[in-house]
Amino acid sequence: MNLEQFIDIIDQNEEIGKNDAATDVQIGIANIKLRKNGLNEVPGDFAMLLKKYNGLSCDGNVIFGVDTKTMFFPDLVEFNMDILKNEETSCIILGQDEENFLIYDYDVKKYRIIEHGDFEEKVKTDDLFYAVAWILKI
Amino acid sequence: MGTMDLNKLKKDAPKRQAMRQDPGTGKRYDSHYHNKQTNVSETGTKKPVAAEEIKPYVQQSEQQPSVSSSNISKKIAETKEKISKQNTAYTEENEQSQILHEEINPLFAEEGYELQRSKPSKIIHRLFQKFRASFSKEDEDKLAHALQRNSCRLALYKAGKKDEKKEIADIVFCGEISRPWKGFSFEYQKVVNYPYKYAKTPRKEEEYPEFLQKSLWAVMRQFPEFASIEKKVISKMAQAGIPPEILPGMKLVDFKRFLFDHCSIDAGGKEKNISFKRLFPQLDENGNEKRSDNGNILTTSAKRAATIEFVEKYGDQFKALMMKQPHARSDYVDALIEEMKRGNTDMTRYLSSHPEWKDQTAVNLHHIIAKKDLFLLPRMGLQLKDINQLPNLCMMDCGTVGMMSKVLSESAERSQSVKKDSWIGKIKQKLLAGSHGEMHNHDTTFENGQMVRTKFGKYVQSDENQVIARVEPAAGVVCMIGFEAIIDEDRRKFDLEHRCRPDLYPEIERNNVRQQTEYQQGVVRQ
Repeated sequence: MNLEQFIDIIDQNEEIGKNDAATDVQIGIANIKLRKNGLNEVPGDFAMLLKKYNGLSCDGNVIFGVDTKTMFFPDLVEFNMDILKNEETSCIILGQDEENFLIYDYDVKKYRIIEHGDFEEKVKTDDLFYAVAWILKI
Repeated sequence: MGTMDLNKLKKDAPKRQAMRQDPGTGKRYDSHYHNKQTNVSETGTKKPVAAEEIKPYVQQSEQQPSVSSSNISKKIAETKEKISKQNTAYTEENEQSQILHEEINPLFAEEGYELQRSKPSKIIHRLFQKFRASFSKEDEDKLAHALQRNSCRLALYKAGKKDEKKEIADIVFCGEISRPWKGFSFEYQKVVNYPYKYAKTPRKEEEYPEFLQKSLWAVMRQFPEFASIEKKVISKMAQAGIPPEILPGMKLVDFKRFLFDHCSIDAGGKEKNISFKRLFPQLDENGNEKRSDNGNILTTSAKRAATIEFVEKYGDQFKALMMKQPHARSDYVDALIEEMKRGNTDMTRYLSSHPEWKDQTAVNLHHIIAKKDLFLLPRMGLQLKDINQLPNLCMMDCGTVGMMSKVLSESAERSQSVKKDSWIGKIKQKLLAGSHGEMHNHDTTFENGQMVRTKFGKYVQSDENQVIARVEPAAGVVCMIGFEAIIDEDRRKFDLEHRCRPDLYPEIERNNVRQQTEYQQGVVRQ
């Protein structure tokens, strides 16, 4: 599935909350902050999604945005700084549901869905949109 | 006389200049007798004086016996008696102030008056870090005390292994199922590969109940949601021609694939789902599926049902609590409550048409005992289905605390729930905002008296020798928003009888001496 097909499906689903698009500047600043704190940057295709929707939410399951200024769409930079600040990891957290994180793992170059407590892997995929749909339960 | 007064003033001037003003209370105090140095706590009562502090005087007196030794001994005895009295007078209230005082003052010293965001709060975070480092009873008690002041409790459980029941509880809670593509049992793989071959030879419905009882379905139907679709499951299995004999050998992934292919509910004209489909229809009193005006089947889940039950029981209290939050809007709260009556807590879909709601409080329903810890329920005298029932759920605020803290720090003066000129109240406002929504995620694993820290993203199965320390809502808490809670007495009795029993605490070895843990050493287990 490509971005346009995914956007089509998201647009038709009135249960999904969608935040306004992020700008290149917002994404750039987010990446700078992440780098400065020893964290990994936002992957390229996720950045493309942010430029359409800077945060998604469905029934409390969320995909993070950047510089969102609202608790309804958590801020990716703040979240990663809080969770990963003492970690040496190849991952960046992009979203979560009640029990799982959606991460991008730069080591294996794949999107993974892992459980909060023990990091048991539920999904490993190249397909960002499949992973996003899994987290949002759509 | 004027000159005399002036001289007196001049004489006193240096002392007055040394006086500092406490930024929070506005009280003046001599910097030489700052609270930290002179053992005067925030409430003005004296802290116990440690024996080490009088030791030099004792040693000095012993070294000079020829100098009025009886007077010195008398003085030492009087001092010791005074210290002893101070110690016994050190009440619980003082200890509370002590904890707050010790933790808060350094924060002010470090950060000035510009309090940074906290997640969940600097005090509790700091106490939790101490506890993690030491795993000592002393630090555990301090943390537990701080949590108790905020309607939470520290619970310790022996770790257990997850099994299929956890995933079954997941499906029931969200009411949706994803389509698996692999991992099927040998027999069901054939059904997946050749569905039409089996559908050509449908079976009789009466063949199935006996085999279903011997299968994983016996566990699944313990959840009322699955029990409600049992007739449909049997009917669809018979139509699909699935051999009843293979049922006892079917794994959860087999059932998931069957349910997705044959029992999931078509959204009907709405969006085309990508990965998940809904499973549980809303039923009327006759057991028939309810439909919307346009003919679509209405669906439900344990979460939706619990949300509706919550707002029916606690709607008024919830509204009052939400309206206490800074910048609270009645139009948002009213709309949220209406949405919750339909089983939904997520208001994000309305933000594009109501951008003025973006600074409002987001809420969600969270498990108290996590689904992965289903194994704890029998120990607590509960059933599997109770994991998703309202007594095990708590409505909490959510989202990143950072933004919430900024919003609250700007509006601390307007808070209705703390005294405006209360220094502690302002600190509480700033430091604890939004903390509840994040507290329950504070699981920490200990093994052999030390915190276990695994590399982020690397799966490590839990070990039954491990102890999980967790922050939970206190007994009776049904809702936590900001730093306040709704407490139900009936729920409190229920919690004390089941979840909060002291005998559930494992017997674990504790460290009474602080030692540097692997965490502090930066050791990461691979």
